Amino acid sequence: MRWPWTRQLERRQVRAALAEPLRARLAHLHRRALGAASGRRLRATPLALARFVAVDLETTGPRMDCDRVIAIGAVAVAERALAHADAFAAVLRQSASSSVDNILVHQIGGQQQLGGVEPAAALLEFLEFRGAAFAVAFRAEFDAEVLGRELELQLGVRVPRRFLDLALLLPALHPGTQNDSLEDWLEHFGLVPIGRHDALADAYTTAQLLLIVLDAAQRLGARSAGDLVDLEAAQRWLGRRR
Amino acid sequence: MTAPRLILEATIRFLRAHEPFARMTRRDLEYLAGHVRLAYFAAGSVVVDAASGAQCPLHVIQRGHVRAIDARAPADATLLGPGECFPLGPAGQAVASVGYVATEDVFCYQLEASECQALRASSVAFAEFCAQSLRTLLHQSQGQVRRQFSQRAVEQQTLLQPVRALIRRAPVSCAAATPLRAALERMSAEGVGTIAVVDDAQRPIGIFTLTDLMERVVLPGADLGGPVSAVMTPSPGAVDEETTAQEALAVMATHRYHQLVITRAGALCGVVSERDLFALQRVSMQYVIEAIRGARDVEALKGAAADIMTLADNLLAQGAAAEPLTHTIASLNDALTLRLFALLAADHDLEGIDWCWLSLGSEGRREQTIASDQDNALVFEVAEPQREMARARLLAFAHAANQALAALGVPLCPGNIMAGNPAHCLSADEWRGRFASWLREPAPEALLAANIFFDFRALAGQAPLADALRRWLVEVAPDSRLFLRLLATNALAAEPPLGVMRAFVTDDGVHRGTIDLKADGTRIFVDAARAFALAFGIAETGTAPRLRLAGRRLGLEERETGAYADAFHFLQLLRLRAQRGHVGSEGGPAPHAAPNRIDPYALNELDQRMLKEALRQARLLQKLLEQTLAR
Repeated sequence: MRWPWTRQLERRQVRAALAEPLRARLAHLHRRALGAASGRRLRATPLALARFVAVDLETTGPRMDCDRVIAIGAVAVAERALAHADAFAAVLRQSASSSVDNILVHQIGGQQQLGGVEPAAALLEFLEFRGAAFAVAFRAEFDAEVLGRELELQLGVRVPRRFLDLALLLPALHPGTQNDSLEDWLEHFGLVPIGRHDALADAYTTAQLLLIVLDAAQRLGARSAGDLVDLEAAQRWLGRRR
Repeated sequence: MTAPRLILEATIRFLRAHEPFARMTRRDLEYLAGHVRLAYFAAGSVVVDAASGAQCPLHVIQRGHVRAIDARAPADATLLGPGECFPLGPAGQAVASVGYVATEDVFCYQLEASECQALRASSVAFAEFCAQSLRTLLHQSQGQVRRQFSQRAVEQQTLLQPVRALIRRAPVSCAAATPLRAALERMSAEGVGTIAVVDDAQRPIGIFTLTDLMERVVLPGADLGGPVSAVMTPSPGAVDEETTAQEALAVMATHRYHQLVITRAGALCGVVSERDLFALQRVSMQYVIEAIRGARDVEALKGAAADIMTLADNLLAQGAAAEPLTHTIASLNDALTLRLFALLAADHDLEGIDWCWLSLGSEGRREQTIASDQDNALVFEVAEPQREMARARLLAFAHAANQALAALGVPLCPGNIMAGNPAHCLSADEWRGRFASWLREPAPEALLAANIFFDFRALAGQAPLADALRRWLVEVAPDSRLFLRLLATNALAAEPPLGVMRAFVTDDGVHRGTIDLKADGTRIFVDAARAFALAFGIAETGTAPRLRLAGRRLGLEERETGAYADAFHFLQLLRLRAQRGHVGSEGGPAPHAAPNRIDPYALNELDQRMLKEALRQARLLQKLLEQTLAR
């Protein structure tokens, strides 16, 4: 039996075990970007100025409740453009490399996994890269859940989710299609991925879809990032993913 | 933060497929790929506003098409596709009056103006591109032709083929003991200059040539009854039939042989001379001219005419520009025609007649392509009573000349605009009357047919006759307002096949998917230049010189008229390439029925852009014409 305070205790232990510089950076980050006030500010930011971070994760498997993060790719979209210099990629060092099947999907070999960046440092760096921005993913639920758990386990923090789901926003803004999977939408817009089964390549494609979504949202009258959140919520309430 | 490698690589891969990025260094491309932002524009949205000014970022289209619209000339929209950059004015800066609109969903890489500046400072290729003019693009296009066709030229060059392919006839040979007289009789009977001396197994042991006859037989007074072995060159240069022509040439050069004996398994199978081998090397201009000068009959001239084609092919493959290329073809054809006349003159009595052979149309402008047919006429001057007699004699000569030219591969004019037609073999007075009636009472239809006469140039005979006619025309034409306006209107009838939805508007029907480079391209320049020349009293007949002089009259900048001339020459070059089967990757000559048609989308990307720009220049020129003459 795990009590809520058990987890809180565990998180504190994890934080205590972090190296001092990491802990300091984490505290700074908390004050600046992860508080409730930053969330309100974020919602009010005009769409044309807002910064979003398109995220894709490679994980040890498809299970939302127990699989771990192997690699993170993220590409920022700010002021309605995707800046090449504003992108992030990291492979997290694993204690034991993930199963062979999974390696085949992600093509991140055991050697590379074991040789990746120290997970706490990589995750912290990602949080710093993301800052107060909304994260955006296709089927964001999965990424939000897995990433949230990874952050708890490695950094001992719970961060606000702040994920926008393209799988909801796309059908909301481009209704009347049968598109369901990411591949469907890529084909719909004629987008060609810049790489295959790579977190960064997928994040880049996600960012391109986001550009399309932002343009359509603005035409529809959306003014702020908060309007996007509301749009997503409405679509979720409609319960339609297509 | 720097861009991750994967993004850099993907971007560089894309950029490398386009000019000018293909020529930029890896370091500069990394800078570019690392500093761009990718932006999205839905169909119909404004990408760059006309008013955005010089601080506007440079856009490189990654996907989709963008239309550039000049507010001063909204009809002149240009369609830009993936890999193309905008806004780029003549000095590499945005042109204030031009706006850019996405015609479909578009992704563009954007580079901020300050970073653009940094890149210009570091990359010569990029700086050159920004200071873009048609000239740079033209240069690149020629470079591409060079690269593309040097391979083809190598294949054509038969120097890599085995020397056996050069053996023209069975060798003439004799045994060593054969009396010299019998050997010479054999050579004379067979019409050869060389006889090989062989042993019982047909192995070559010596060679005797007509050159040896002088030094070894005639001058020393050798006995004609003696054996040929006494005067032959022993152990002649011999190579196996599988040796390449290249190696054979090297053997000859090293040992100063003029002939080589070719063997198969050691036995004689042929003799090739230096000349056989040298003919394989590129046909040079000098060579062709000498061949023309040395031709003794029409038959020999046919060979020279074929050589002109080969030469044109080679020059094209070497990336020659259109102007020198068409001039070369024109001057060689002139030389060919002059030689032909010299040969024909022997059969025709033209004593006492002052005549001048006039080249008309493209020949008159020195802009012949390979598929040009004959357009010519005659002007003559005799005392009035002898006129009809003189005409009859000239017509006989001209008719023979027309037929002989046709035999040399210059097709007869389907409209019968040839010197052999009594209607075009006129005295100087008659010509003046004919031009005067065109000038005074012009009819649009008739003018279309008359166009080519205004491009006349003296080719053979008494050039002063043609010059006097030109002087007179230059004097009277500028005052013929109605005539000039009709001429201009005719030139405005053609429409450059630039599209609104797609880059080019191709034809339907028989010529589906193609555009006519002549009717909808070069002719616009030619007609406009002619109209200007007649309006401004310019005696020149060439399109480019006419445009240059007209531009000076109109107070245009050299750069502007230069752009017209470059566009015209590019279209000419495309025509030549189409006619010689150099367009597209398929090779093979264009169908004879449509030598000026190409599928614009089969061109490589750079040429497509050039073509677009050239056709846009045609449109601008039409506008200029409309403003100056058609009103």
